[in-house]
Amino acid sequence: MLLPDLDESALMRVARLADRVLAAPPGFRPGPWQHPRRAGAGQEFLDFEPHAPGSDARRIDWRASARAGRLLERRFQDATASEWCVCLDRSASMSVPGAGKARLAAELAAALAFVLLHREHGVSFLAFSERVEEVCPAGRGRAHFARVLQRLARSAEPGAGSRLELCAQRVARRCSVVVVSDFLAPDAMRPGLLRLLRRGGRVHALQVLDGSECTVDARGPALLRDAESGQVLAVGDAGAAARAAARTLARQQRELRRFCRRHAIAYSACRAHEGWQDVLLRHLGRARRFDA
Amino acid sequence: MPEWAAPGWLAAALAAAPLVWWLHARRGAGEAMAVAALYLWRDAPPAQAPRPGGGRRDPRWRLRALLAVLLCVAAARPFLPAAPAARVELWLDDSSAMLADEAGMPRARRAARAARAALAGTSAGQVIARRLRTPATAVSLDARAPDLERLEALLTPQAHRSGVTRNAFPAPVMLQAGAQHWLVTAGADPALAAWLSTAPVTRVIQVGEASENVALLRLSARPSAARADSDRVLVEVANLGRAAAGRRVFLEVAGRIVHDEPVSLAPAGQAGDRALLHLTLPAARRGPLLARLSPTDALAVDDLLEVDTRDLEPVAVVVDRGCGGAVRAALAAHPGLREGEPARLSVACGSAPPDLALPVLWFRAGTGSRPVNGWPVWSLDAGDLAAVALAPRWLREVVAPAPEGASLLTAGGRVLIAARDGPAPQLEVRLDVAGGGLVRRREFPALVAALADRLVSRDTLAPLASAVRDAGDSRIAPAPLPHLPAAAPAAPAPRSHDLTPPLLAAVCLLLAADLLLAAGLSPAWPRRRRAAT
Repeated sequence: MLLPDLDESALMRVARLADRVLAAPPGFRPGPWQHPRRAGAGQEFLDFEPHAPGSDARRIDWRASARAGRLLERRFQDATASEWCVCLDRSASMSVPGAGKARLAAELAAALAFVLLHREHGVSFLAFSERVEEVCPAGRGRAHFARVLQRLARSAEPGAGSRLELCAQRVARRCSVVVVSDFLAPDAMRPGLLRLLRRGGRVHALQVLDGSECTVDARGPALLRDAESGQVLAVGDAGAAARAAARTLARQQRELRRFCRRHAIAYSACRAHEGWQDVLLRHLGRARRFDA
Repeated sequence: MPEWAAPGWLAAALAAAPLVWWLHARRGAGEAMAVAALYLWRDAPPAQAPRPGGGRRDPRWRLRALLAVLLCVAAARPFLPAAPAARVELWLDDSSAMLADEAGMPRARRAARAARAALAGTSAGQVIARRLRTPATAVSLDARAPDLERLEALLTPQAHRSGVTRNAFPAPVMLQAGAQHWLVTAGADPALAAWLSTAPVTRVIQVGEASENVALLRLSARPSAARADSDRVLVEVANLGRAAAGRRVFLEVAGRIVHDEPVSLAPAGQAGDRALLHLTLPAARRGPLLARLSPTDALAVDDLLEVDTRDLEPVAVVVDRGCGGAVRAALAAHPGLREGEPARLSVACGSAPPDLALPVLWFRAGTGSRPVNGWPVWSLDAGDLAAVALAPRWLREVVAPAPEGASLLTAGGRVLIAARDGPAPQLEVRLDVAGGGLVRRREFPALVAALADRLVSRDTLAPLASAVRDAGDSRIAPAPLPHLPAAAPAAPAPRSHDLTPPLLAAVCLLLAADLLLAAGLSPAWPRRRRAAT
């Protein structure tokens, strides 16, 4: 079972909490591209509708009412709804040193899709590694969430790389993107994030780490094999090597955080042992403060 | 030092450590551990050159090897004796009384069985058996089941036919203080009681019930001085038992009975407990002379004595033709020497000794003679020859090169008689027998007889064939021994300390440590976790 804790009640509870966190607009701040058919609190005129008693009288279009012989109100395009794409990293590094990272990342991706769909956004889903492995086109509603879950649950061999830039080709223009990954690549997937930014939408980065990426069950000389490329490295002292790797990872995390701040990317880091609810709500709160 | 109940496991312990090492070397060779991102580890210090035996080896192999070794050692079930087991020194009375036959069994065997039974009832850890009369001989015995045959052999006297060499008992201070001293004896030796009163012996195992014994103590024969064709024979019989006894004494020559005579003997210690038989046997019946008692008793070995009367015959001598009448007369006057074959002695006169494989009495001839210029002096090697007193005025010395060998008689710094040892010993007499006045003196035949006795190593003038037995060796009646202090009660069997449980506990601790290390709960773990964070 890929998503054991992801039942509907838990999702609804988190969605309500997300509503509370994102109580006031802009919430998940909309992008500049509006939904063409959805009426809402936007500025662009959409059409007329009969006036309902109790509604705001300022919305009545008197000229059109005169022509029609009845009271008509102006409707506007909904400016808060937008398109989102959830990109999930399925590279082999997500399964090392344990399955915790992959499971939490999948849970986060599913929960994000649910929350976004709950808030009437359009959501698409991409699973990527060294190639784009799964594609779920954009959609709305409960039925679409089921399709996203279906794509998520498909098992596949872990990929041998993390090429986020490939996702940029599949993301529509002005579509916002949430990337769930461990960002364990020499360039921390910064080129991919930049290409996603260039699509015009907002970008969120959720970094999922296990906490044991820099530990090995050995002392003294050891042979290390990269989970993705299969390359082998011999180290003289596994303990010293682990400490050096931990320093490198911490430095890379700091650089990624600074990069995201500089490019207005909402960034959160979490550990595999954390619950997806906590991680999601923390990220939403951080993203709201970031947007504000 | 620990002892092992199953020592075979120690061999497995020896093999355990190399086996664990090999398994870890085999497991570590070429096995790589997967990491999420290898580029993170690029800054790590590089590995050293791989070992010839393989690649990485888990450093916990030492812990596991120790664990395996301890497990094998525990399987060997080591234990420590709770207290040192008692050491018993078993003093075995090897007197002739142990040869006594009682109810068809030698007394020594009964003593061995009694000693074994006594040892079985104690917790003796080590048993050292020693002969009482030759204590330097020590034999270690199995404390739980001592070998009966070895005990019996140690109890049997080493020389019984010609009488035991009666060594003194060991001094009491020689008995080691750290051991219990037991004595296995028949109690027949009267000197034993005195020794026991001073020796730290804690237990006496006394065996033997037979007390009656008649023994032949002496058998001797010599040529009769009164009749040249007969020999005088003396037989001594003694009763060493507590009751009067009667025996018949048989004398046999070459298996034929030549004389028999009954004797009646009073109990030992009373008048008439000994009998002396004086017999005359014809010299023509010389040969192995055997005396025996009939009927035999418990100690049969002392009912026989044997001598060879052929040693009483005159010694045959071959005389060189060069020897003058004086020498021949001296030889002819000697009753223990006769000219004839087969010769046991050669008498030569001349400038060179005969080349014979016989002892040679050589009267050397020289280029002339001269008076001796000093009193003749016998050397220490002369032995019985020194009994012959010589005066310088009787003697003239032959002029000849200096002799070889040891000098026996010298005068004025010159050697008059010299001895050379070897398979055929030689006595060189450098006296001018014919020129001096010696031949007219009675000392000359005495000198010739003494020289002949030395060469044939026997008293040719008064030959004697004799066999004697000590009466103490024939005493078999157990005598009451002094009261000994109560022996320490037999200690209960020592309880050993089993070392297996603490070893197993150590194994469990090592196993737990290994499991903790395997789970990453080593002291270095928090540091690694922080570093990874």
